[in-house]
Amino acid sequence: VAATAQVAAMTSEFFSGLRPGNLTFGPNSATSQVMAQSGPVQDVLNSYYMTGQTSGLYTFGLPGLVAAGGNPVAQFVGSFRWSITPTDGGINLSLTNTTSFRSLTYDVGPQWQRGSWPTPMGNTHQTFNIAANCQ
Amino acid sequence: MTMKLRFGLAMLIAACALVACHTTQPPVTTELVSGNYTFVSKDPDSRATDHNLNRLVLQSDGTYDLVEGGTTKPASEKKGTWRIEPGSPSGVVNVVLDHAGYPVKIKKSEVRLLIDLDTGVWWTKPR
Repeated sequence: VAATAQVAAMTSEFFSGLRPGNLTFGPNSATSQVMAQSGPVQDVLNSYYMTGQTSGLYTFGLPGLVAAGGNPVAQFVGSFRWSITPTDGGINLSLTNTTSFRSLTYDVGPQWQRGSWPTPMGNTHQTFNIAANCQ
Repeated sequence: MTMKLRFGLAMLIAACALVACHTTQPPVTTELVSGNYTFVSKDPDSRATDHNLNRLVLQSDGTYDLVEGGTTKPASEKKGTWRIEPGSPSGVVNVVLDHAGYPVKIKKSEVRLLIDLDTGVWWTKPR
């Protein structure tokens, strides 16, 4: 419920241009934890365990749409960049995403920065930090 | 938006995507992706002078040479090995420089190694 409310808030802030445009969600936040359970994040972890790849771009598209399923955070994020840092007990996964008019129009529309004045649909950025323990 | 409406919208998008994206990408081969790449960034947050020296060379012997920097950012050079690997989600093919993956997009007249779709950042070379 908290993650769904956060997605609604981020969507509203993107369209209105109000409130902070850059958000970082820690590993204990509901938003990161819901994202951690999503199909795209599981795809990324599988890719890391199978190939050793530690950074990349998850392209959404139709397979990503299906993988995200009903996960509200994954559906909001769409494509994202990711990087993995191994730790003593597991890994830290960092996801970065930009919400832009360009991404809303499937990469064909224009995009613009947020200004000091409210800028509707100006680019906003999110970082999701996820910790995964080795089992 | 209700879940039912959202599901309906997702199905509509999926149907449109199936129709619109029916063209299959040619196989990604060493010969196709080897070459000299230039850097493209549509990101309004980035300064062109921070990356105007960027270049990437993928040699057909499996080695690469990556230079990143610009007239307002110190340049760094990295050399290593590259390979082609299946990526995720399914159907994506990556060029992997050591441990860093770049999804490959084959267009009519160019080959792109994607960095960020949301803001439009990629490496490109003529096909």
